[in-house]
Amino acid sequence: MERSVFQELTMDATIANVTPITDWVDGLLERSAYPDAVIMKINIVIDEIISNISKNAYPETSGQVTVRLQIPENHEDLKLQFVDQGVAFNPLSHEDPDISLALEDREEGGLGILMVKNLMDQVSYERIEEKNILTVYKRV
Amino acid sequence: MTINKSVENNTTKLSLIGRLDTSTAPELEAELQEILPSTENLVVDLEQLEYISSAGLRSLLVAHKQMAQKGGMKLSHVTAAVMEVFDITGFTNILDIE
Repeated sequence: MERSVFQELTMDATIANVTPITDWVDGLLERSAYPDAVIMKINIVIDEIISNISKNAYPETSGQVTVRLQIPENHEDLKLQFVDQGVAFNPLSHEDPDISLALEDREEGGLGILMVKNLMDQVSYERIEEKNILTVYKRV
Repeated sequence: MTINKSVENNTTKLSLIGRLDTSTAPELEAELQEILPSTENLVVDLEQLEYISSAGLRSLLVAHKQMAQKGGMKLSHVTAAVMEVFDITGFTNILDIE
């Protein structure tokens, strides 16, 4: 039976928790029969965003991230939201790295968010009530 | 992630199985540091790699740079999903993909 899903999980935003968060999202997406190719892209996005939050939103301290997954009844798309209470950090405000440059001329960083933007259909950032909210949307 | 290793003459082949991401990239980096001094050619087989994130790309890049002074590093059996990531990030032009 097809149904809509709205679930959330809150954990410490640490590298060690990337795997349990990924497994939790995968379980829900597999139960809703999302294609492997979509699940794989979502997995990459989770890795990039959680590591970004742990590095940039909580640079000195540790803190939590709430991951919200929204699956519509028809399973034609999905929305994933990452909410943290760390310092304001908009990953979308940085310019994309120039990937045409030779290796030695490239600057470090930015590849993760570049991947997120390319693998998803929409990515948005909001700062609301001292929270960073990053939302990704993917059509199937 | 599981890393299978085989050595033939002066070529080392690593097969990566599973996810290469922030939590598993250090395992690959440790393996690479161990084998790099004694290998002339490196082949990394990605047939069973589920996906790669930017942390995984960075460890491949480090290995690529270190092997460039020797016989080089080749990537084999790159799947369409992993190739998409290489394309997005411009790594298709940097890495030696068979």
